[in-house]
Amino acid sequence: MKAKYEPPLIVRHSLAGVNKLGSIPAIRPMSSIDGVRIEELVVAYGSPLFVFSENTLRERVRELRGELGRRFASFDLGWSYKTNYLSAVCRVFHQEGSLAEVVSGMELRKALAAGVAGQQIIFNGPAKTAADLTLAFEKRVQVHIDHLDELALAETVAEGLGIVPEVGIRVSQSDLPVPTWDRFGFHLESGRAIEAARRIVRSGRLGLRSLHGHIGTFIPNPDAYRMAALAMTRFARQIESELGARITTIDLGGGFASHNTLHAQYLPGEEATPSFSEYVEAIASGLEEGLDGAETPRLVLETGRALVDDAGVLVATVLGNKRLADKRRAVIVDAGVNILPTAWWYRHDVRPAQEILGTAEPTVFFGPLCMAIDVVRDRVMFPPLRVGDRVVIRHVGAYNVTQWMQFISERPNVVMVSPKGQHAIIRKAETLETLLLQEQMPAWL
Amino acid sequence: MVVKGTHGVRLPGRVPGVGRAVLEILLRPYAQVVFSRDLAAGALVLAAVACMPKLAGITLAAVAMAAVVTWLLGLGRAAVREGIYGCMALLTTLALLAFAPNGGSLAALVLVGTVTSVLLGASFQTFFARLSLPAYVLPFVSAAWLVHLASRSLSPRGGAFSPVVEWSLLPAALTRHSWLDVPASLLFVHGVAPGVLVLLALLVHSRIGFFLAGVGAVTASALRAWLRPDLAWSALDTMASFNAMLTAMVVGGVWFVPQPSSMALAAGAAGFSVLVTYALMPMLAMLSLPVLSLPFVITVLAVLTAARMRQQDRWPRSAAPADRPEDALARHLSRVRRFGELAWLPFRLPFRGEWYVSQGWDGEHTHKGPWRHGLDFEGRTAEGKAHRGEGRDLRDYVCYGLPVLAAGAGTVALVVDGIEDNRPGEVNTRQNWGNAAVIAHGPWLHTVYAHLQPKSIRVKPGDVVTPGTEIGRCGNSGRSAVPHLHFQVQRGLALGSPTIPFEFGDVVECQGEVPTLGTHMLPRQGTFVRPVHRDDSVAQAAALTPGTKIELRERNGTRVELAKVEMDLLGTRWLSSPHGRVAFETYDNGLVLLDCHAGPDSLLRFLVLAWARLPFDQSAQLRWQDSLSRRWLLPRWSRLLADVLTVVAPVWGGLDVSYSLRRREGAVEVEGHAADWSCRTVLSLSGPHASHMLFVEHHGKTHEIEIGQADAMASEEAA
Repeated sequence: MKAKYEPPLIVRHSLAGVNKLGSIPAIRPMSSIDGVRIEELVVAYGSPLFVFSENTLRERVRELRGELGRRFASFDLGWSYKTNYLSAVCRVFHQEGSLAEVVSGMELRKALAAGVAGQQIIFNGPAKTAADLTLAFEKRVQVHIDHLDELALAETVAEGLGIVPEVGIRVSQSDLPVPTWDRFGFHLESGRAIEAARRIVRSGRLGLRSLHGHIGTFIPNPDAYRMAALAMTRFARQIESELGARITTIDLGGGFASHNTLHAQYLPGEEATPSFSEYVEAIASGLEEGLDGAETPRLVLETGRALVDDAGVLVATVLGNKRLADKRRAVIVDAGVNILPTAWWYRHDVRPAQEILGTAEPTVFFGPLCMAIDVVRDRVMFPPLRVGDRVVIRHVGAYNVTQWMQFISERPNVVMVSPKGQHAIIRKAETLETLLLQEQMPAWL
Repeated sequence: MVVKGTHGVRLPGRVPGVGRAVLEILLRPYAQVVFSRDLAAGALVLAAVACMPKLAGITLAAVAMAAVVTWLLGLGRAAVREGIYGCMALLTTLALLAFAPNGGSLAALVLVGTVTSVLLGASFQTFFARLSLPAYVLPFVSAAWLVHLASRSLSPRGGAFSPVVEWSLLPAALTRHSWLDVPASLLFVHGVAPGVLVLLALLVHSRIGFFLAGVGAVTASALRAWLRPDLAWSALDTMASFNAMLTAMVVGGVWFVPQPSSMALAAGAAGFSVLVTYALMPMLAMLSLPVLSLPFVITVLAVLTAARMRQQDRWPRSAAPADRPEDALARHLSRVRRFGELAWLPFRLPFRGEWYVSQGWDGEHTHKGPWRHGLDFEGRTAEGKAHRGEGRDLRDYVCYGLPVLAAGAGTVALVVDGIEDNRPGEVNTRQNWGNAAVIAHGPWLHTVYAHLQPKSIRVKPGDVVTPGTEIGRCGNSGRSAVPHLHFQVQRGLALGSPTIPFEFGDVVECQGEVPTLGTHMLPRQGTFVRPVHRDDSVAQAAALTPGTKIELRERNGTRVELAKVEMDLLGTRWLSSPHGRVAFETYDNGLVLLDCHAGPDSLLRFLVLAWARLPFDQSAQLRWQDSLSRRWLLPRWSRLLADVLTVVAPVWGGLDVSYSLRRREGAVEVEGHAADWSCRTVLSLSGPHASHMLFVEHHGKTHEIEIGQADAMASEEAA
């Protein structure tokens, strides 16, 4: 029988250097975090393993606070709990002076349980129940109303408690150079927002003090913030002149891009993402234009991923290699999209954790799931890996440890490394017992 | 006496209410003789008087009557309880009894002497207050003279109601038999026992005062030995001596901070008063008037008015009003240590956020000669560079366009605008200061903000600014190669006037791992500094709203102390309990403890260390140094020794404490460490009714104290 023709695998040898498009970034290994060797961490805590750098967390938030502090007399950062609500991570942000920004009853209760004072919590989110609102008003949480039915509910709850809480309204905008996020809050241009403001002020059952606008997520264009700040400030002045209610806080939500690279993005995030100073400068100029000499309100930002993404890495271990039909090299690692859902959005930066010799070739990283969608990184030039080698997936601090799912395996350990090189678990790996603890067997089976 | 605590715990307490008021009314006038408010000192003076039992009865009657007269005249309850008029009546009565021992009716004497001295007391006080001078014993001298002069016109047999008739100018009571007659003569009596008791009263009131009285007496003796060596001791010398004692005590211990220089001044003044006594005696003898304490009053007024002509308040330094010299000294030392010598106007940094000091005083570029006290500030990126990108565009520079703020309250005096920014690297030497603003903070005190962006200056001459008002934007005009802010303080108004030294208040120096708070400092070249960023939640948590009742409760259940927040006329907040009181000042950037008078059994004493200073800053961590008055923390008896030690070795009076602050969810934790003290305060940020925890370790013993609003804690317990 004649053997079937198989085309040869041809790998072009090239020195790290330049091609016609520019320099080829050589893949540098990342063998330690803040002076702690990754191999040491994996031996101590197992693989896969999320590692957070306390130093990077603090550096990022201090950089943003520093930029805000030079321009604004009064500002606050709200730590976006949904981005990462591990208690240790939250504590770092609270120590650095951040408020808690929560979007659900559970997050609200988590913040309160951690000891955060009610006045230091901002409650956003589109689905607040009567119980959530009762708790929030009792604890004097800053509530941002999302829609008319919620407004009615908030009025009822406040009346029941016999208080007139100060609230804000969420405002969405269309006239911005970003995809419109009109599902959160009252729409500005169509007049829904001013209607809501009128209703709050005229009914007198709530007090209107702040405006909240979240213009989107991963916005690489600072000018969008300038325009949003301008529109919000003008809206605040409209409320003040028409209704006599003084808006003391303008909350521009989050959405600053992190150093990750979106799948559709051409330039790598490390180069394309604007710096905090560019965002803050844009906001400052928008506010100044809108205020036109009026007193500057307190500015609140709820930046999430841009603060935490850089601080988290996921360490995984190579389980095997294979060649795909198109001759691409495929590497199977022990961390998949079950614990790294952001792989669906980002081309994560993947690095070896040790020096590796060999020719880089196009490589795809698959996770351990028995599913086609379990792709950690689609195509990256990578030198050959052996079973047991470690790889480090970078910029994974945001959303993964809140959106991860428990699918065919337990969630792994999460550790934090201190600036002095100490390290400790901040969330224990789940075990089979964790899984079984919640399950119950009905009597008839 | 015991006071019942709110939670059923019985506390030892001071005598409350009516009983205490009666004691104050009766004993304070005696204490005032030695310039004290201390009731123990008053009791000792009374005892000295009581060595002649008849005198005790008469003077007590006079003091009580003075209180009634004061009250009837509507001079106020405070005047009654402070005993100043009572003291005048007491001295008048004593003088009348001493100088006219064979006078007429006692009742008439007490009545006329008391009413006259109270009236004159009120009158002189009004008059001298306008001159900002003390009247001291002038009402007593005048009242005594008045009665004396009037009595000469009265019939020698004026019946039962003639007060005084015969006077001796140098009564036998003032003829010295022993050294102890000199202190006794303060009360116009003689004898060893009264002398010892008066000295004891002085000692109880103030060790420094006691020492000063000695300085006065020795000066008087020395002068006598020099000026009248051949004459026998007479009542005149006794009068000279007690006047010298009073003068030295008041000059060295009341009006000036007790220090070697004020001791010297006290001795000089005492000598002066001796001369005045010798000078007045023959003159007044012609009028048949006794000298009494007039030389003392004349001398003090002369010293105080002369001191007003001094160009600098130094050597000795004037003291703020205090109960006793020890307090004045402690307060002065702590003020210098804690708020600096230049605290006359605490400037704030003229910008927001963290900036880099690129040129300090006596800098290598332009801060030389008359302009040596200048500072240059510029912004830096997280990587420590002055610009982003290549730095070819002005907008690449971190500080370009950032707000520049007024360093203090004042009026805009001068604005220069319209000078173009230089391109990076270029310099405009023709218009050295570029666009600039000058703010006047008072006569001959100006701050200058130079090299601003053209057309960015938002103020015009005559505008009133408060600390932090935006003046303009940081630019690159004038003699500036890269965008930066030049700041200086000068006497003159014109740009280019010579500079003078200054300090900033509440500077956060961002060097090393944990930033340091400098409460009064000059930023050094090469450091990163920022002003305090006010954290409202900390300010609210530490708010001491007047009228609030605060409960301090020791955790192991032994002690509960109720204190109330009160505000005095100067805006100082006092936390007062039956056991003591602590003074605080709250301002934009924080809370500062100013003073403490608390007994050893008071829980308020633990607040001294814990709340000595609380910056309302947003930083995650912060460190600062403070130096408290050791006196505040010492038990009563060691305090006596410490008082004397502090005069000669001021360093000893300070207790250096290092503080560090850190945060966690909903709380701020402050730790303080001193030599044998340490404390940790957990300040809860969850609203106005939250209670705070205080852990103090002293001599190996830990005290755990909960501090909260009294009403809130009570209702919590009920729930």
